[in-house]
Amino acid sequence: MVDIKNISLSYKTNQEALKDISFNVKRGECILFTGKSGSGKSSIINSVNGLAARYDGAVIDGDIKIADKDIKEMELYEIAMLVSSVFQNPKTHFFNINTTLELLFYLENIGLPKEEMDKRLEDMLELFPIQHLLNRDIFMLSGGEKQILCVAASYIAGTGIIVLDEPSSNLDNDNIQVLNEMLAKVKKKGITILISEHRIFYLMDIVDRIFLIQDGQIKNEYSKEDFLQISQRILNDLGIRDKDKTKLLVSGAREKGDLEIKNLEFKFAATDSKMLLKNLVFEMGKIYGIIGANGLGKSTFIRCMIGVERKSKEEIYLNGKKLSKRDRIKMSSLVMQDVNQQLFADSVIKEVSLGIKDIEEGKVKKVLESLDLYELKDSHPMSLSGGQKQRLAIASVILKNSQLIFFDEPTSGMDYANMIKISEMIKECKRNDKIIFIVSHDTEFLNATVDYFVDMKKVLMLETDYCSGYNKRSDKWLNFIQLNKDYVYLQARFYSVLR
Amino acid sequence: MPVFADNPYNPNPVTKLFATILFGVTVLYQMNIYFEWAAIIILSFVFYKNNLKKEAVSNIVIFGILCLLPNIEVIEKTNIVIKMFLMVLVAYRIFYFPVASGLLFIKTSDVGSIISSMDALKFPKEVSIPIAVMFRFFPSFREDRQNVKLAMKVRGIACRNPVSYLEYVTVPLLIMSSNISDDISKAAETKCIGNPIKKSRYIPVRIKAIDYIYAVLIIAVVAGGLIW
Amino acid sequence: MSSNDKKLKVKDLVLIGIFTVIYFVVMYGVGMMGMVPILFLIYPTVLGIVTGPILMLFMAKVQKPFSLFILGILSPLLMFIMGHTYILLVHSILIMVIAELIRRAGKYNSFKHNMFSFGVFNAWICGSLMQILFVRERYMEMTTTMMGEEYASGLERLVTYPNMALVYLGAIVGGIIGALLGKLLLRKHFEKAGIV
Repeated sequence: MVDIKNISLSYKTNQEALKDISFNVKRGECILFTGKSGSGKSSIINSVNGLAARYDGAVIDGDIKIADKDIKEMELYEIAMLVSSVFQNPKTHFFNINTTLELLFYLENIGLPKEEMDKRLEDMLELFPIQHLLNRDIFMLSGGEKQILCVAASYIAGTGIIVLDEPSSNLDNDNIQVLNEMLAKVKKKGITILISEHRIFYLMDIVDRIFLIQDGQIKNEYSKEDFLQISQRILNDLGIRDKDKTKLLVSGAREKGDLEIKNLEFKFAATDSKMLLKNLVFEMGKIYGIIGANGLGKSTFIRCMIGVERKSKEEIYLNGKKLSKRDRIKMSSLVMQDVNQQLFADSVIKEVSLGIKDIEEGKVKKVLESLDLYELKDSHPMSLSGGQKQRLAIASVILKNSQLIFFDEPTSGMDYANMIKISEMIKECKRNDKIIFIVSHDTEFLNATVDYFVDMKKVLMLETDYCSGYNKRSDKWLNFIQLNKDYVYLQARFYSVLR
Repeated sequence: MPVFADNPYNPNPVTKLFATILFGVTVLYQMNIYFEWAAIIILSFVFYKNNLKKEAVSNIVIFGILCLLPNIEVIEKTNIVIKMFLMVLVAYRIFYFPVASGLLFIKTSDVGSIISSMDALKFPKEVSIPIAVMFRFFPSFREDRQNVKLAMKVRGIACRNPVSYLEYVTVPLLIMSSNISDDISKAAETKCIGNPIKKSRYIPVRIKAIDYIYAVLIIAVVAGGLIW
Repeated sequence: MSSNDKKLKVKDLVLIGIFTVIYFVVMYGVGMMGMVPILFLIYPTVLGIVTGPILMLFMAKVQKPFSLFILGILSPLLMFIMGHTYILLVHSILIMVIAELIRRAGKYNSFKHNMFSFGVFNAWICGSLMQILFVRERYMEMTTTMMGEEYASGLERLVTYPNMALVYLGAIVGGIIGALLGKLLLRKHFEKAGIV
C-alpha cells in the first residue's frame, strides 16, 4: 500500500531530517514510528501525506508511492484523496465551526451528493457512537472531543490510509482510551494506519510492526511481540514513554498546610453552573499535581487561585492572613500551556527580565546558563524551538521568584527525555517559601515530580440548574459528572491512592 | 451567530442580504413614516419568530426613541461636547433600517448556510475561502487575546505606557495568528479543499415560503415609502 | 514556475481571512471614536497608525497580486452587510484598485511602494464619511431640529468637501506613519522570529 524507497529529506535549515529511509506497508497494517523528539518520525508522516514538501519547505529525494502511485508530483488534494491525516493539536487543526460540517467537509470537497453523505454519516455513527458531538459549536468541544471528531472525520473520508502524528499529545487518559477503541475499530475495517508517537501504551494491542527511528534513520524494526520484550528502561533511553499504562503513585494531599482556600466560587458563563471549592489546604515547600479530566475546570481553578478571574470570589489565606486578588497576582507566576501566549520581548535576555524590578545581571546570566539558553540571549524568543521556549518560560519564573508557581500542562507532547528534564527543572525550583502547582494529565511526569495530588473530580462541587444530558441553552454536554437539580455536593476529602 | 438554524420563519441568507441592500436605499431617500413603521413591524415579527424576543422588542423601542429625538427640547440646551456625542444618534436614525436588517442577518444566519449561499451565488474561492476562515478564526482570536492579556497581567507588565502596551499585545498575537494560519491551511488541504471540482454542500440553500413573503414585503415597504 | 508562484493558494487565502479578522477587530475597537464629530475627522489618521503593523506584516508574508485587494474589500463588505450603504462599498473598491496598482508597480516586494499603497488603502474608511456627505441635507435637517441652529450651522461649516480632502490627506499620512511603524516592528520582531 505504501512504499517508501530511499528517501532523504532536508528542511530549509539544511539539516537532514531523514537519511535514506526505506520501508513498505501492506494494506491493513498498523505501523508505529517511535523515537525521540526530532528523530524524524513526524517527517515520515508528513512525507506520506505530502505536507512536508508543500508546507514545511522540505526537499525530498527518493520514491514515495501510495497505492502504486508516485505522489511526488501530485497536488495536495490528490494525495488527500488517498491519505487522511490526524494532527497533534486538534485545537488549531480544524476548518469549520459546525461539527457536522467539519466531519463532512472532506465529502463536500470531493463533490459527494447529499444522500451519499448521509449514508456515510450513518455508517460512521454505527461504528463510533458520537451522536452527541454532531451539530455543535466546535469551540465548545474539549480537546479530546475535537480529536475524536478528527479521527471520525478521517474515517468518514473513506481513504484507505490514515496517518496520525502524535494524536494523544494533548489528551487525558480517558480520551486516550477512546482513541484506542476508535483506532481498533478502524483497523478492523481494513484501513492502513501509520502513527508517529512516543506515548505508546495505548497502541500496544493494535500495532503490527514498530519502527524505531533515530537520527533520521530506521534503527530497528520490531514485531509487536519482540517489542514488548524490550525493557522499559531501554525504551525510556530511546525517548519512548511507558508501554504500559502508568498508575499514579503519588498520594493525595494532607489536611494541613499554610495556604488555605476556605472558599472559591466561579460561575461558568457557558453552562450556567458554578464551581465551588471549600477547605483545601496546601503546604509550603511542596509540589502539588492537579489532576482530573479535561473540561472539569483545572485551568479555571488556577486562574481563580492566581487572582486574575474577575468574576470569581475567593477567600484564600496564607498563614492566617487573607490574600486579595492583587496580592496573589503579585506573588504568582504562571507558565501557560501554549508558551507562545506569554513571550513578549524581542530577545531572550529582555524576556527573562520583563516585569521584574531591580534585577541583577549576574543572576540572569547564571539562570540562562543553567538552562542552556545563554548563547541564545540575543535571539528572538519566538524563533526558538518548542523545548527552548519552555525552558525560557521556566527561566522567567525562576527569576521572578514568586511564592506561588503554577504550571499548566508543561509536558504536552514531550518525549521521555524532555519530560524528565522539565521535571528536574521544576523540582529545582522547590523552596521552603514556595508552593508549586502543576496541572497535568501526564501520569509519568506527575509520578516523577509532584509530592501530592489534588483530584478535581473529588474536590469540585458543582451547582447547576440543569439535569444531566444535553444542555440546550449552552450547547454543552454535561456528561462528566452526574447532575441533579440541587446542589451536588462531593465531599472535599483528600485521599491516598492505591499504591 | 447560531451554529445551526433551521426555522421556517428564517429566510435564507441571500434573501436577508437582499433586504439589507434594499434598505440601504432608505439612507439616501427619506421614507414615508408610516412605511417605516410597517418595516419595523415586519422586522420585529421576524426577530420574534426566530426566538429573538429581546431584539424584537428593542427594535420597536429604539426606533421609537429615535423618532422622538427631534422633539426632546432638553438636548438643544446641553453643552457642545455632549451634543457631539449625541450626533451618534442622528447617524443611527438615518442608518437605522440597513443596520437593523444587518443585525437580523447576523443573528439568524448560521455559518453553514452562509457558506452554502456563497457557493450558490457563485462567489469565487478567492473570496469564499477567506470569508469561511474569518468565521473559523474569530473565536480563537478572541480567546488568544484574552490569554495574552492574562499572561501580561500575571507577568506584571500591563499598563505602563500605551505604546509599549500595544507592542506587548500586538506582537505575540500577530505571531500566533501567523502560525495558526499554517495549521488551518493544512487542515483544509488534507481535506481536499484544493480540489477544483464543484463542491457539494451538506446544508442546502433552501428557498422557502418565508423567502418570497419577506422579499415581497420589503420591496413593497421600501417602494411604497419612497413613492409616497 | 513563475506563473504558478503568483497565483493565490489556499495558504494565502487563509492568511487573508486571518488578517482581515485582526484588521476588522482593531478597526472596530478604534472605531468607537469615529462616532463623534470632531474625532471622526482624525479617526482615519489614527486608524492608519494603529493598523500599519498588521498590514505591513501581511504584505511581507503574501507578495502576490490581488491579495491586498481581497483583504481590502472584505472589511467594507462586512460593514455593508451590517448596514452601511453601497457608497462605502463602491468607494472602497476604487481605493483598493489604486492601492493594488501601486503595490504592483513595486513588484510586491518594495517597501516604499507598500508604504504608499497602505497610505491609500487606509483612505477607504473615509468612505463612511462620504456617505454622510451624500445625505447631508437629511443629516443637517435632523441636527437642526435636535441640537439647534447654532450647532447645526457650526457642523455644516465643518463637514464640507474641502475639509473632506483634508481628512483624506490625514488618512494617507496616518497610513504612511503606520507603515513606518510596521517596518520597525517587522525588523524588531517578525523578521527575527522567522515568521516572514
